[in-house]
Amino acid sequence: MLMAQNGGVGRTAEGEGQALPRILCVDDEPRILDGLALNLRRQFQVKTAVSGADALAILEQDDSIVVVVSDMRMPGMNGAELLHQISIRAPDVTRVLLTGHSDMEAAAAAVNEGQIFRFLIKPCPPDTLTAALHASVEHHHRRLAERPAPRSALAAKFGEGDVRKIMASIWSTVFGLELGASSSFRDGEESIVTAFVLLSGNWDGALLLECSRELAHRCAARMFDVAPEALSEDEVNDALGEVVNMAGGNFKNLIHGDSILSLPAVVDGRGHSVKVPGSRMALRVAFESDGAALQVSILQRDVGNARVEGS
Amino acid sequence: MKILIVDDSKAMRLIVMRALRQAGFGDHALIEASNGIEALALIKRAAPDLILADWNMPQMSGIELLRSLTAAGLRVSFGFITSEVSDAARQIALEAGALFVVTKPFTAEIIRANLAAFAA
Repeated sequence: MLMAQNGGVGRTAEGEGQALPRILCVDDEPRILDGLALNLRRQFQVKTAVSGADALAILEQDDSIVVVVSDMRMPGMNGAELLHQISIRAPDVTRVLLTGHSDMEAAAAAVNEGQIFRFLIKPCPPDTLTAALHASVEHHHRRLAERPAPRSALAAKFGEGDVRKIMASIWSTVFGLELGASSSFRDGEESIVTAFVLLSGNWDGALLLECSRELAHRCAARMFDVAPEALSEDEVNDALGEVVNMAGGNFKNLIHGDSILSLPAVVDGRGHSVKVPGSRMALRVAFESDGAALQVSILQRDVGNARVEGS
Repeated sequence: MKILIVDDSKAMRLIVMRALRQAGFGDHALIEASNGIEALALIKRAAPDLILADWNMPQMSGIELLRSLTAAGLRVSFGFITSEVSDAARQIALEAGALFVVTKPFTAEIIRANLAAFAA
């Protein structure tokens, strides 16, 4: 049986328009829940549950709850057991245990096992309780902020400007050349060479660099500091591979993805295209170097809910 | 001073050597290895004072090389020059005993700044 459910939807004077953090109080005594709801309603949206099972059912339906405060002694599932369950089912919910003096040992064990954020001793003065709850809400937000971004959030973190910056920096430091913008990359009659690296992990996809073999040759010559005709094809591929590896490393840092960078690979010839199954073209940027065109493409593979959430 | 450059890319080894020359280290003996295993053998034979290694290499990566040196009780100054630019990787490198991590692309200025302690 639930008492005083959703006791406070009011607004604080300073937090005008901002929803109050939602907390769930669990106690088998309805009177105590009533008291808690009354005390906390100005600062929190209070939901209540009269048992561990009740609390778990509510949490399953309501993912806006950020903190659970549970009494220790309850028939069936006790507070420590409940909070342990929550730590598994909803680890982002901050957990607070209310205990009497006689349950201190069990409470200490619960703290040490990392199941709870705070434990409070009954009777608990209202100020102590609200202070602990505010700290709990803050803990919840900090936890969310520190968590690596989900795949879907990674999608929007790079743009054309980022890729231009990375490539311009590589071009100037490695080749001593300025890299200009270009409106298009024309696949002309020349032989095109494509160098690429794959990324896999938190972010999956590939970074491709395409240019004419002639431009690749000229750039590699600057890298090796020799005449273009003195270079072998392997050396040109090595240079191009290093460039795309650098671009991939810098790109990986940009997306904050916990991904692994593959060894670079180079495809040579005419009319070829490199595909990563399941990926889409996320970005394509054309450049101009030394009068010749080149192009960088980002292929991104969307997995799971990223496709649904992405715009 | 003897500096060992470890990178599987010949182009990158040349770039590193060029940057070292530009940074004022041209008078030092610069030796090369193309992977960790090769480097390990060379380190025992040639006893370099400083190792500049790439992170991602076939056969034995840079971090494996550094850990092998530590495990073997060989204390050689070690720095990474790598495209692996994440904070996590930097942390791993420094915890393993690396003195610095230079990310590619780099300038001669950056090399000079990181190798300041080795300048004559």
